[in-house]
Amino acid sequence: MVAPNRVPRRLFAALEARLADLDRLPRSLWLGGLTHSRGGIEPRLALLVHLRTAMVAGELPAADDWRWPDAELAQPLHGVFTRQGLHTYCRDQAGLADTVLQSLLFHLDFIVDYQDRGAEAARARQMALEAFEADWCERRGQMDELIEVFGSLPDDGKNTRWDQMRGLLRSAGWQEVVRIRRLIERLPALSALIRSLGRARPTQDVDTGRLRRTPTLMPATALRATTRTVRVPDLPGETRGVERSDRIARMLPIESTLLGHRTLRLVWHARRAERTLLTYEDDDRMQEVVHEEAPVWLPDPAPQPEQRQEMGPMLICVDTSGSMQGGAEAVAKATVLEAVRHAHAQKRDCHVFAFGGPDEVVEMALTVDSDGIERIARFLGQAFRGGTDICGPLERCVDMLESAQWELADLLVATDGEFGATAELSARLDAAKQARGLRVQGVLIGDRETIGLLEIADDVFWVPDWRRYGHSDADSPVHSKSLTAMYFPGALRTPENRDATRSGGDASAAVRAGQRQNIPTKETRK
Amino acid sequence: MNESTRAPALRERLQRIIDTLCDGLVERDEAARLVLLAALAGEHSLLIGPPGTAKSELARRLHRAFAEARYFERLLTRFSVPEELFGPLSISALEQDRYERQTAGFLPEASIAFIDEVFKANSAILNALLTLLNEREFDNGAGRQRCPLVSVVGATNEVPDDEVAEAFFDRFLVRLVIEPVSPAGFARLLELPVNGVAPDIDAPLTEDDRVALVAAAAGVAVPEDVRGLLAELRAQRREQGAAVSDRRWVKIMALLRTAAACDGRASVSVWDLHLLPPCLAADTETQTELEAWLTARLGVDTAFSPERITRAVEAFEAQLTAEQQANDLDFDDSGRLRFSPDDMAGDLADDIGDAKGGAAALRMSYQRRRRYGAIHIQARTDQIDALCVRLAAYRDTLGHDRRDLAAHAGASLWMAPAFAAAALRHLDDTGAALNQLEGRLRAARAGFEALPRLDTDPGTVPDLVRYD
Repeated sequence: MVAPNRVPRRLFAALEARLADLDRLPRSLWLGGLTHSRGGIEPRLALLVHLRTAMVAGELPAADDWRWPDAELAQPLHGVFTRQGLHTYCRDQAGLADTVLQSLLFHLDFIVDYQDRGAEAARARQMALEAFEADWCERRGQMDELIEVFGSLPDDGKNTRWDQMRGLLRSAGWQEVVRIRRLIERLPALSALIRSLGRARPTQDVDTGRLRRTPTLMPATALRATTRTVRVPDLPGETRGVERSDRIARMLPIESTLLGHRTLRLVWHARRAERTLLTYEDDDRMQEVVHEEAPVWLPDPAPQPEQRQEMGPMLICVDTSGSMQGGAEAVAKATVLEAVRHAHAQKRDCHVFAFGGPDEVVEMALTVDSDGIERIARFLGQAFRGGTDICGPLERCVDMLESAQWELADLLVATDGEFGATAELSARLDAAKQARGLRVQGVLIGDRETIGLLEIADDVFWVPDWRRYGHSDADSPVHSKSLTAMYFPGALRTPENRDATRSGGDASAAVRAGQRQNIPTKETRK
Repeated sequence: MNESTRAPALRERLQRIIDTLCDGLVERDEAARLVLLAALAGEHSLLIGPPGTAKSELARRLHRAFAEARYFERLLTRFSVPEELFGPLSISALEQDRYERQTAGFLPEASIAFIDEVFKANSAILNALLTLLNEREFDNGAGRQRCPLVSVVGATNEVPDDEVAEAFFDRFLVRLVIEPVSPAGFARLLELPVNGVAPDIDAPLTEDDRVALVAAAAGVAVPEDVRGLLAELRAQRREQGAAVSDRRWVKIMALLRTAAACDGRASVSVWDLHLLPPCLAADTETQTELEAWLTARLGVDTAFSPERITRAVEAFEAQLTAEQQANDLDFDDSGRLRFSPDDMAGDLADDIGDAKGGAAALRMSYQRRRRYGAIHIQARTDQIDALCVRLAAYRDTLGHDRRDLAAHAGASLWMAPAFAAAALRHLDDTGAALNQLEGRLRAARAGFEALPRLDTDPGTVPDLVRYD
């Protein structure tokens, strides 16, 4: 595009205008559009522009409207487009449309080489058409698969590296991805849950759990009085000089000499009429008070409950310990894939921590491009094994929350709950929840919630029938995930429990002092 | 005396007049030319500049260019009264209840006038003066008096920011910002004689000359491209929020026609438009901006290489490089040339990657280089030849423009020699850029012809290429 401040030159304007279509095409099509073994530059560029705009609109112009290539190629090409439905894939996908056109130019440019290698002209054309169709037939299959898994094409089809993609889509990991994608269909509640993660968009309902702590200021307008000095001309106040006017009261005495003469008094009248009598110039100054509206900031009286937010970035911790193997592993992977799909569809950031034993944390930024898809396939294709150490990944998460990009993120922990968190870590999480409004969503893929999970998660989503997603069809043996709270209420680290228990040190000191019956609790010691 | 012989004669005289106007002044050529042209077109000009920049000298010299022209000069102050400009009130007329001025020897009877500090005019003078400038009529008593005014040269040190200035600006067609002499001209300034007397003009213009010139200007044609450019200028001014009034456009057209008539040309040329910035804007900044716009639009601001055709040449160079470096490793497992929008062989080199370029060496080995047949190379060279034809059209256009400009610069009194020289130089450089493009194309053509060839035909039908 010509920059607005650049003046188009008149010199050569007519000649340059013949190539004006270049400006309507992306750079990637210039090379093929300008250097091609068939036809003239201008019809070729015109076709590229015409076809590209039509394809992005999801349409295909009739073959008779194609100004390039010649009819014996245009007709069958039109057939290829129609058979493969290429234009339907390109709707709103400019990047993909460019790729299709580039490939079209590439294959047609090869016709001369086929001829050089001994093919007749008609046969060479046929070969190029077949190669083009074969290419896109295969790619269409790949696109279908990608769309099925991710909901839309990676990167708008722009930089998809098809060669790499081909190998990827044949890998065992990808088969696993497809299997897990089918599994998600059976977990609609999980999708809804993941959609509500993150806090970048306010929802309609009010989040009573979060009150703004920082004093906020509201913009308001107030009238502000300012004084200014205004000159009032012609008010007797201060003589500033001499001017010409018609004010007899301020006239210089010399002018009155005209009045004494019979003829000259006419001149005086004329001067008065012309306002050219020499007069004193005077004016007065006046102080005036003006009220202006000025913006002011007023402190907001009370902390307000904020609206609940959703659609921010997502941080996902996945438990990959050995205890997850089987159905639980499949559900955890489904959680990750679903998170990636939502992140891709809604242009959100998504970061996954896979945690096993100590020092077994794998971090992945999951984006839907060819490298990201490879990572996803690799991750989903792995079997879970290892120990469980939640502290490392959680600390990394809290660290990340302090950077601007992830400030509004929420945390999702998918686990069977077989872990415990240290007191420092849960304190740090609590602080983040207070200060940043972090919310931790647990996904429990097990039969009972453990103390570890209860302590870090604000809310736990239970997948009771996780066994079905492995290789058994047994139901969960328990009716509720809250068995711990029912049968071991004292085990939960609630404030009441904390206050009612004595630490080991206190207890032993009391026993040594012989106060076996009267061990101090926290309150009595103070 | 018929037209054809008179016009050159007039042109000669005008040339001498311009030379005389500038004689003994430093760096005032452009101002002198424009003030004279405005006077010939019957328009007023305004000189804006600090004191002591030969503004009044220019105006005084201008009136000597016109024979039989009455000259009037006045310095305005806040206290100037109408008497000073328009003559004293006639007392005898007052006695008969007629309010009349005796205008003999004052502005209403002058042909060329110089009004210094024109913005100091107070309300007593303002209306009469503006009417006089605009309509060349003066309200005297009960009647209106036609004035023989040809051109007023106004001068001012500073431009106030009020509506009075706006009103005056509107009356003066040409508004020249006079700068003090530049460092380059300072040495010449010091060499000027102490009380240099302005030389006399040997053949000043008579009233008949002026009338004939006006008649000739009326017959000057305005070609389509000039109209188009003027329309663009108008749109550009409007876009910048400084729309130029319709009356001014009419006057500008008259000025351009007069310029052409003085040179004895039958039509206005696009090159005349470089006279316009002082007519369209009053401040240096905008004038410079307009000049830049105009020179750029005319394609003489700098040397340049036309953008799109350059892209086409670059495309062929890129294609040649790609074909020279293509090798059979770019074929994928099914025998087709690998096609990947990102980079054809970059990944591949990375995969084989080694720090010593071993991958490249492998790719460039004789066995691995792609080879091309006659039809492929013929197709490429045909395309390049077509592009050369296209480039030749560019060269023709350029040559035509350059001849046009050179002819105009030779024939026109009004084009600044420095402008013409710079413009011609830029056009020549543009021509050099076009030649360079052609050189690159030829090199690319030779490169295509030198591509590695397929082995000669053994005379048997070769196997078809596998393409499944």
